[in-house]
Amino acid sequence: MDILKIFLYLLVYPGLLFLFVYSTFVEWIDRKLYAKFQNRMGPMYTGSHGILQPIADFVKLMAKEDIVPDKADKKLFNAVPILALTSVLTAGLLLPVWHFSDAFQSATSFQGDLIVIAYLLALPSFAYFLAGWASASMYSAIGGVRVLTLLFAYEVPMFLAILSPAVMAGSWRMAEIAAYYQANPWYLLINVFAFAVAVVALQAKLERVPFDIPHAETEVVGGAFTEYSGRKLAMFRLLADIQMVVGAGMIAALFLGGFPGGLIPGFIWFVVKTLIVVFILAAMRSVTARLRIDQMVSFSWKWLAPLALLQLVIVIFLKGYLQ
Amino acid sequence: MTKQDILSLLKAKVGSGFIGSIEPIPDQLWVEVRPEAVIQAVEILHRQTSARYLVSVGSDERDIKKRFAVYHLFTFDKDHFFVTLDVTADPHTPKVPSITNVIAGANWSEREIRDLLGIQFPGHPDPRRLVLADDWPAEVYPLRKEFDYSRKPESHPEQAYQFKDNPPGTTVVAMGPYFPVFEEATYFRLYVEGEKVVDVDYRGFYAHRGIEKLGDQTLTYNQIPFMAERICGICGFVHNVSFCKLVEHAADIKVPRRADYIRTIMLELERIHSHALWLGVAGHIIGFDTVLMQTWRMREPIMWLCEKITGNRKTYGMNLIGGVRRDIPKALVPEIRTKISNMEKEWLAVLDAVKDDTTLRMRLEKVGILNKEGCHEWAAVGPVARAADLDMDARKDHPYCAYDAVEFKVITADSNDVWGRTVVRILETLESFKIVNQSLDALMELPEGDIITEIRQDIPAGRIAISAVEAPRGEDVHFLLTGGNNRPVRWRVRCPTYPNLPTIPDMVRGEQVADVPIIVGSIDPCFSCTERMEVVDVNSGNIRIYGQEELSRWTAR
Repeated sequence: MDILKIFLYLLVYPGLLFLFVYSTFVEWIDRKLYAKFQNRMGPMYTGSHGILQPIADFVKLMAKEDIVPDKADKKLFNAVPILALTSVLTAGLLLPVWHFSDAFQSATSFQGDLIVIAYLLALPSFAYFLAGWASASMYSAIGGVRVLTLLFAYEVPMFLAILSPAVMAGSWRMAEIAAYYQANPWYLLINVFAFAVAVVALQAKLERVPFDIPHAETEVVGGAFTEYSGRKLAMFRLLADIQMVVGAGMIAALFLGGFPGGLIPGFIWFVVKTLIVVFILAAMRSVTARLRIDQMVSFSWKWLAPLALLQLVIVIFLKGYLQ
Repeated sequence: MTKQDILSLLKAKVGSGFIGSIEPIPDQLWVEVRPEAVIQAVEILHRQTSARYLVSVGSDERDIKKRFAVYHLFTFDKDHFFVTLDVTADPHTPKVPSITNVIAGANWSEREIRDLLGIQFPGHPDPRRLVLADDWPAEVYPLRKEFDYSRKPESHPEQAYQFKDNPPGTTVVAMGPYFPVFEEATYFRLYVEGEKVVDVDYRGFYAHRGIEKLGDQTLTYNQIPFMAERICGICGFVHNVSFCKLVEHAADIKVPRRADYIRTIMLELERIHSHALWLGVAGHIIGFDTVLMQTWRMREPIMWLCEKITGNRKTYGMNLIGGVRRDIPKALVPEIRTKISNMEKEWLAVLDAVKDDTTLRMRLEKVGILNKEGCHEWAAVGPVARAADLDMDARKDHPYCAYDAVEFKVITADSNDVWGRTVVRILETLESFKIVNQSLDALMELPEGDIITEIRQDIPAGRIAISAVEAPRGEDVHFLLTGGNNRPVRWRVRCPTYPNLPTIPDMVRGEQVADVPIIVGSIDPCFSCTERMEVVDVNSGNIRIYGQEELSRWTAR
């Protein structure tokens, strides 16, 4: 039975199948919301209200010719999309979605899984950089360098922000942190600054407006992805969607109280809470212009990082006071 | 300054280089100077008077006057007239001293004249090819009269274009010839150090259409307005009006007042939808697609309105020399008013939203600086110049159509940057609503139907005219020298992008790569006007026409 559970966990929920299906759904929601903010309709044709459009896009891209530039470093060029996709899929497994009983501890829920998931979510950025490097194209190279610059801007605030709920709950395990806040729902309000910082940093991690600097099409064509096409591009796009789901799931687990109540209610909580995060992300990209890379870095260090630090100080003092 | 002052100043300073002067039509002064004296004359006009350089026109007049001619056009904006320096070049070895060292803005004009007519400009600082294709043979000059417009010379690949050398320590980033942000072919070669732009080189004119050549070899006065309209897909009506005005000036044709008002309304509707289009594109360039979607949505009713008035969304085909082809019936006026006031309301909301948007200001303020002096040197026009606090607007300075009878403000800003250009355009659109409304008032009072003057005589040969019309992008200048056979000897179009585009290197040097697209975008570039080219796809056979309802239903299935 336990073996079956683990297989279900790996392949169905929250593993490969679920992440694929749900990430396309989230992409559809994101596109629909973005369209609504712009008085458009968004995808309409494939499926009811275009709900299958992301899958259609994925299938279409998979069927397209896959071109590897002559001058590219071919091994690296081919390996990078797989590497990056693997890392976010693995990160997805760490989400505390199934409430396993204390008797059965899931292999993917352990003390310190918070650090691992943050690390795995950071890996794609390095992959993008390598992709840009391996492509041997000027636009890709600029894109790749921008990816790294951006990474240095948002990653520290991101880590500082996810530190606060962990410190408050006194645990490095997401399931325990979520359980802590489920027991004391009002404590969620303490972390409101960190929540804001984490959402903004997630937007930057996902390279969406206003932080889509690395692949700003009007400046550097496709950035690190300029030379990618067909299957590999499809993988990159899928991985961006999954990254959004996992990132939103992580934020929901840490800041919105996780997904209590066993399989079915937990699943519903998961959908509702990740969609709340996705809504904020979609709204953010419809009301902002793209920043310049220097503006992003200074914004990050002037506002995001100090705000996250302030939050940490608040949490430490409150924790001392409450005890 | 009056024309007399200028004449006496030139006579006194240029001395024996001064040949003579005429006033062909009231708002023009023609001064003929000897080639040796042209630099000095230009220096006086450019540095000591309030003259603003427009463009230089080359003309092959070997058949009529046994000479090549180069005309340097200037305008005195606040005194409402044009001054032209007329320089003769030898018919066999044409050569005229270059004035580019005095006025940077003459750079392209002189290179174009050299390319197309073979007039040499000794002393030109950058004598590379401008207009002709990379493989066009040397010493074949397409605008000379003996060159047939349909001739296709053989390819000479050895004529390859030379780009500037890399400044040390820089790499090349190519923006173009095909690049996501430029809708048309153009090539900015950026020399960058990290994210910083050290230098930039430009190559354009990839799609030169030779419209001027058609104008003086195959088309007639009645056809050219329609060709002129096809110079640009956005401000076509401007070119159309410009050309009609030229001929009306040259042949002294009086246009009915009602036609004047109709032209004014169409020009302003064009400005409204062009500025809305620009704002959207600017938003898209800096990743703010919500601006794009919203402004284009607002713009759509105006496009349908244009269709209702003229029969077409764009390229209206409204103008003929002497007037317009369709009236705006009084019954349509209330609908126009409603559409305009709806758009005005939405536009005020846009102004409100844009004004206080943090990320927009972060991206647009203090980038792409071009100050007053720079504008004067490069002869920049339109919102670029107005954002540098230069109060110039052809609608006020050289009133045409009904602009002498309507009230509006010329919007200026003093920030010299992309933000200033944005604000100028947004506010200008509000003025346009006012102008349309005033013109509609006038339409209600004038009798319906009186919209065109019949022309009974031929357009006389040997007349000259200049017209300036304020396009959304800036002032559009046309030059005409009439000839026999019911067509011009020389028709020169100087669209507003032509003087604005060469300012780009000055604006982007030292900026970041990320700012280049929006800086280029900030002049509202229209490469096809610069190149005077457009491909018209004519559908043969059955054409089915879909109406607004049908199209909307289709898209919103």
